[in-house]
Amino acid sequence: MNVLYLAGSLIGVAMIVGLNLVLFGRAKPALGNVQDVGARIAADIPGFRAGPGIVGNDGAMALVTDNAECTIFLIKAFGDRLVTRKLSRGMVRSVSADGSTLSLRLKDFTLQQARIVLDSEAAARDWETRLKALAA
Amino acid sequence: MHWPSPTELATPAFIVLVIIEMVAARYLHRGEYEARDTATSLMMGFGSAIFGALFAFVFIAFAGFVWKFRLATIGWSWAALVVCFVLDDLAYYCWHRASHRVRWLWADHVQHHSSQHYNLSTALRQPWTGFLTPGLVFRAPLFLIGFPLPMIVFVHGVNLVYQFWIHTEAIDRFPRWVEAVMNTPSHHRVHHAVNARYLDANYAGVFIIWDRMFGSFVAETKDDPPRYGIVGNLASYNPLKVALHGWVSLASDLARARSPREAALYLFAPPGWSPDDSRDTSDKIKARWAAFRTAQFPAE
Repeated sequence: MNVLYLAGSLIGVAMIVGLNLVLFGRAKPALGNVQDVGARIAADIPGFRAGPGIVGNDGAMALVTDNAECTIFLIKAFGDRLVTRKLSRGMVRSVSADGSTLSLRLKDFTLQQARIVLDSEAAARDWETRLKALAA
Repeated sequence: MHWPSPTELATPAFIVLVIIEMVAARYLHRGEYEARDTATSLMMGFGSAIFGALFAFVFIAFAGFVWKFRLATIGWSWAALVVCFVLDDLAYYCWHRASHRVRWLWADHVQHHSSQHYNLSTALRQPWTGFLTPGLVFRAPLFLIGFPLPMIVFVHGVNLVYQFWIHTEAIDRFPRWVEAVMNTPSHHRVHHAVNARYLDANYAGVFIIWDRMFGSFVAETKDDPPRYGIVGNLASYNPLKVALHGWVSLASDLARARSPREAALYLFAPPGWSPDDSRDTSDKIKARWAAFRTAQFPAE
């Protein structure tokens, strides 16, 4: 392995990523509605039954309760895919509501913070209460 | 005798094939690409080549030490090359299976599985931290038998080059006899899938016969298309986070272990093991899925 090989590899990487952008553009996050999100989680978790949930105004993040286990799932749009986290006890470091914005800090190396802008302050307070029960 | 490096020779072909697959994905709708995911996969491959070169001395020192205890000294011949290739593939199967069932090895191998896409760029998403695992032990029998180090390195390179092209959704199935013997895109899609029915299956490198022999074979089914990634998918495209997340998680668990036994189980038990059984191993996920299926479709 020499410098020429490494430089050539980096140029190859840049070319391929550039072509990828030209052909496919940049993925836009879109979670759809709560039913859509619930269906996506159910595909991964046998027995999951979506209960009440809420999707952030930008469609990039959602919270959905699992009626079967009385837990809450955080769903984040990630590129053209989703990332799901079961917010079990101990997973949530802190949660706070500031106006209609809900902020979570998580014990997760690649998802340490989540910020969800909701329709109203009341909705943010409601989900803050539910999530604080998990963080306790 | 000079042995060429198969992976270095194949690199230009890798680039051309990724481009061809990407165009096919765009215009023929066979496969999917996402630019940031592709960039991460390719940078993981780049970093893996650098770390591999930096820590090659560990492999050479290990091989040199084990070589002293060899049973025979095998010289160059076509027969020896073929036997070495087949045995190296068996060693790969054993290492790969252990890499999914032993947390210490998974902390490294998980990097390869961390993309939610499955395309030729995913093949290049290679780990950076193999030197932190005891993975070399699986190659020791080849040295003990007496195959020369350059031959082992060469056949392993050919094995890795073979595995590149099977990371694709552009190819559906091959004729039955090919699917029976060789690892194919269909078999390897199953390996990368997180669907409960597909977890911990198809560990083969080149020959799928090892999975058929040792009971880890699962066929791809049309009514359950593979969804790719890992059970807790990553929320970062940062290659450094991709490379380290398994180790950070393992270190965090080791730090909270309450006894040497617990620490040993965190290291050697399957990924997802926890002392209070609060997390999911793949066995638990599969059992839950099977119970759910039975409840839903009792006639099956």
